[in-house]
Parts: sequence; structure tokens; C-alpha cells
Amino acid sequence: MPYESGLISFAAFTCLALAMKKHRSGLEPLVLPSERVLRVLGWCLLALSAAVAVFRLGPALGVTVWIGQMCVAVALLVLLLSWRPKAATALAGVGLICAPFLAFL
Amino acid sequence: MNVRPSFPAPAPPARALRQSMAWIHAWLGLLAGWILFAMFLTGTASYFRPEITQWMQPELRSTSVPAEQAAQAAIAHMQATTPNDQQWFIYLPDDRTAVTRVFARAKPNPEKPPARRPELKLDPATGQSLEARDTRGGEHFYRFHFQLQLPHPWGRWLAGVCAMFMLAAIISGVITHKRIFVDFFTLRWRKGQRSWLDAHNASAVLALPFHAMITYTGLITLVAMYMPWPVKANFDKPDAFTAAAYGAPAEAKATGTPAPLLPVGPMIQAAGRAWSGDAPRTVVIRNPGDTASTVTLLRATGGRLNARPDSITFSGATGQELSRSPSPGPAIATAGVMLGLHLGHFASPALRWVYFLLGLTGAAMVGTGLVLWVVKRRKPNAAPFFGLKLVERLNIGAIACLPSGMAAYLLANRLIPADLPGRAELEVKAMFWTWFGLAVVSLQRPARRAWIETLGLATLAFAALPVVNAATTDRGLVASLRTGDWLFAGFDLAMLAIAALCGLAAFKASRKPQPPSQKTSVRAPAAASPKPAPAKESVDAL
Repeated sequence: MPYESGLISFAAFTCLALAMKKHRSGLEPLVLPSERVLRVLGWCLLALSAAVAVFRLGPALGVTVWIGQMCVAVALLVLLLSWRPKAATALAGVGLICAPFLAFL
Repeated sequence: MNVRPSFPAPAPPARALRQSMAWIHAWLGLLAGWILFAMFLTGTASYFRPEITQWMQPELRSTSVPAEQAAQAAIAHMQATTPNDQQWFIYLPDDRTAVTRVFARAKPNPEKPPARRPELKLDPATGQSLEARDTRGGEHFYRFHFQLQLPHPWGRWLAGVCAMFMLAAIISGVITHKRIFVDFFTLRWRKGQRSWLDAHNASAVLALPFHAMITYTGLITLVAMYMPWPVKANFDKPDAFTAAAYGAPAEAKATGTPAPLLPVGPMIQAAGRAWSGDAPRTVVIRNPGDTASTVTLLRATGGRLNARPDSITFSGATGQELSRSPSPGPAIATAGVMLGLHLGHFASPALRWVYFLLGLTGAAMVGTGLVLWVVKRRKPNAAPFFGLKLVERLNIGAIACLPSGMAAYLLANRLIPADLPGRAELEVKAMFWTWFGLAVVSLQRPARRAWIETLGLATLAFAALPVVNAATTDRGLVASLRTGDWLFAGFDLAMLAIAALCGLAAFKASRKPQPPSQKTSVRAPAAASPKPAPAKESVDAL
């Protein structure tokens, strides 16, 4: 299933969201890295998700797939973030762990 | 600026630009919104066009056979039934279609023009004619999404005008939206107008690459119709342009001397060698049984972004290759890729669902925009003015009644007897009578009740689909899950998911609206307010 690019971009956008002050509330027991670390991590993961898609499907199809999955991932993230922010954060972690396994499926 | 402006200050250029863009955005979006919503929803359904067609002909089961066998079986059938036709178009089955489709055109007869013959459905393995209920299938949603069920060319023109409005609304919307990055992840529920604005922004911004791509490529697909003058200025006939752009397959007049048509298997294999192993999608045979017969193979486009198929033409009598489509130049390749991006035929099942979800965000963007127009202008403790009532009723008709219409189309497919003459038209009528009929009936109810009840009805209609499918066919959800028929199982599950979505919308609409608090009070549009609103709030007017 070629969804690993979408899972990585879901995690990437979660980092970028949590790097913003207004999205850091409501996650109290969780100790978050600093905003700066999250921002850098988010952009790195976003680049990784693009690289994974391009590596897997070639430049033309890879970029198309990357943009498509990125849009769906961030739309789902925003829906989940507005409803259950903790679940969104947890899902980002789970997705990131699953992504390498999906890549070899 | 070193001169201090005196009060009242004229709006700074940036804000003036934003306000004029907000005005354009609101009115372009409103005028085209109702049609755009229908175009988005039916267009999104069209990503599953072959699957919908398969579901709507449950008598047919897919069998997978090699292209050579399917093509040869179809040719054998045509040679046995109508060997003297001028042309046979053979659409080969693939992993998304169950049957071979054949469209045959008889030789022109100057005395009596031959009647247009219906498309044949053949068993891919044996070439035997298959009987299945008459239906437009997924083709209906696809055609409606750019022809709007209007006579040619008005439907395509109306769809094009709406797409142009949409493109302008996207650009003006991006300019007006000042907090694109600050509010990137923001979605707040149960805050009245604020929430509608958030939902509109989120559905638009987060899938912006898709919205811009789908609108632009949709327009470009029909650009030769909307802007015919460059072609007219440079070519005498449209055919000359087509030949110059895409190449013309070698064609010769029939000689009248009979010659047997060679087997197409070796030609398909030769084409496969030229196309790095790809199979043909369509086989076009001209003048079968003549010494001048030709066999043109069109390449399947699955997996490649460019939707314009390559083609190779062989002589049917000698098997020699006569011509092949020129390798496309940059302009033709770009046009082909744009068409491909719009249609999404290249998409694997995984990516097809991505396309589907992105299409739904498009419908959500248009829908929330339409609702926002009303919510923003509704004043508490004041009777709504006529325009507001009109827009709200049209919103109900377009947003809440169309899903019921689409469900009615699918329900009609199962409920109208399979052998009733003219049933395909009846299915289409069921969709429009339900859609528009429901919109008219909903006028009898107060607006809030109308939203709840029409959405509730859509929930019931979609939830009824798997039930009716199980009752009228032997391919119900339980049976298809047991036999591993993923198309039918997936279709039924998707219908249940859509029913859940409609139900959630009805439930949300039935919640008591929040009394507008001080913070989130409904305000007049900034453009109409006499004094300039504070910078932060002027954005809220969008």
C-alpha cells in the first residue's frame, strides 16, 4: 500500500502544528519538544515524505502522489486536531512507526 | 509614508485590495456555487465511473483474460454477425471493466442513412453477446459533471463559466485570506459564523493544490471549445488541427476486393514491444474483410500521467505496420498530462481514494462557502430579507437535496425491473425528480427543519442502498464479503459511510444553534460597514 508518504506528511504537519503556540494547549501530560525543534523536525519530515514518494514512484507520479496524500493527510489532521488533539498526536507517532513497514509491504 | 493621514483615513492599498477581493470572492462564489457543488460531487463520484457501472449491472461478472484473447473473441463475434461494417470500435476490458464493449458503424448508404446502433457488450473470454440491464451507469455522473444535462453546447458552456468563476474565486480567496499560515491548522467547532469560516478556510487552503489543479485542468480540457480562435486562425478544418497535433492514422478507401483479416494477436504483441509491455485499450478496425482494412491499436493509459493514448496502425490484410502516432511535442504532452491529472485514470486504487477524498473537500469548500454567505448576512432579531431567504433555499436544494438524488439514481437501478424498456432514462429521471422534487417540497418546511429533514432523508436513502442491493441481487454485502468480491463489498461499505456522513450532518444541523456571544457576534460585512474595521476582524468578513 503506497500510503507511507501520506503517513509521514501527517506526522510532519503534526509537528508543524504543535510548533504553534495555539495548538500546544490541551496536551498537558505530554512533554513537547521546543517549538523550534518541532518546526525543524516538521519540515524535515515533509521533505522526507516527498523523497519517499519520488523514490518509490519516480519524479512525475511521485510528486503528484506526494501532493495528493499530503493534502488528505493535513485535512484529516486538522479535523482530528479540532476534535481529539491527543489522538491526533498519538496517531502521528503510530503512523510514523508504521510507515517503514508499509513501504516494504 | 511620511505624511500622517488625517481621519477618517482611506483604506490602505493592501486592505482596499483585500476588501475588493473579498467582494469578488463572495459574489462569484455565490453565483456559481450551486452548480459548482453539483459538479464537484458528481465529478468526485466519477473517479469510480467504471466501478459504479459494474455495480449497476450486477448480472455481469468480471473475468480477466489477456487482451489478445478478448480482442480476437470480439472480432470473431463481429465477423459472424455484421462482417460488412465500415468500422468496429472494440473497447477491451481491463482490471476496472468487466466486459468487452463494441460499437460498430455500418457502411454509409446514400439512400438510407444507417441507424445508430447500440453498443454491444461481449463476454471477454468467449465473445458471446451479454445481456444486462440497460443503464447509463457511472457515465451519467461523469457526463452530468461537465454537461449538466443540458443540450449541447449549453451545458459545457455553463460548466465552463462556472469553472472560470471558480478559478477567479480561488485566486481572490487566497488574496483575501490574510491569515493563511497563522490559521493553517485552525478549526473551531460550535462558534457560529466563526466555525463556518474556519471550515471554509480549512477545506479550501489544505487542499488548495488540488482545487487549483482540478479547476484549471478542467477548463483546459475544453479550452478548444471555449477559445476556438487560435485553431480557427491557423487551420481550415478542425480535422486538420487534430491531424497536425495528434497525427492521423493511415486510412485508405475500401478497394472492394475481399481479403481475410489477419489475427490481431501478433499485432497486439508487436505494439506491446513498442510500448514497453503495455496492452492496448481500444482496437479500431476499418473496412474489415477488405484488402485496405486497417487495425489501429490505442495504448492503455493506466499508470502514466499523460491521458492521450499512443496509437499504432497495422494493415489488416498483410499485418504490416502502416503508421504510428508521433511522439508528442511539449505542448501536446502538457495538454495530455493536464487531462490525465484531471481524469485520474493513472491512479492506482490507493491514489484513487486520495482523489475521491480531495474531491469531497472541494464539495465541502463550495458548500461551506455557500452556507457562510447566508450565516454572515443573517441578523439576529431581524426578519431575513428576500435575497437571504432565496439563497438559503437554493443552498438547501443544491447541497442537501442532491445527495438524495444521487442515491435515488442508484436505488432506481435496483428497483426498476431489469427488462423494462427505456429504464436507463427512468433512472436518470429518478435522480432529477428526487433532487428537484425534494427541493420544492422542502420549501414547505422552515429552513432549519428543511436542512435537518433533507439531510436525514439522504441518510436513509444511502443506508437503504446496501439493503436493497442485498434484497434484489445475490451480491449483497454478506455474500460479497464471503466470496471476496471487493468491488461490491467496497461499494456497499462506501454507501454506508456516506450515509453516516449525511447522518452526522443532519445531527449537527439539529443541534440548537449557539446563542451568539459577544466574541463571536455576527457582524455586517466589512465592505458595508461605514468605518474601517480593525485589521484583525476585517479578515473575518470573508
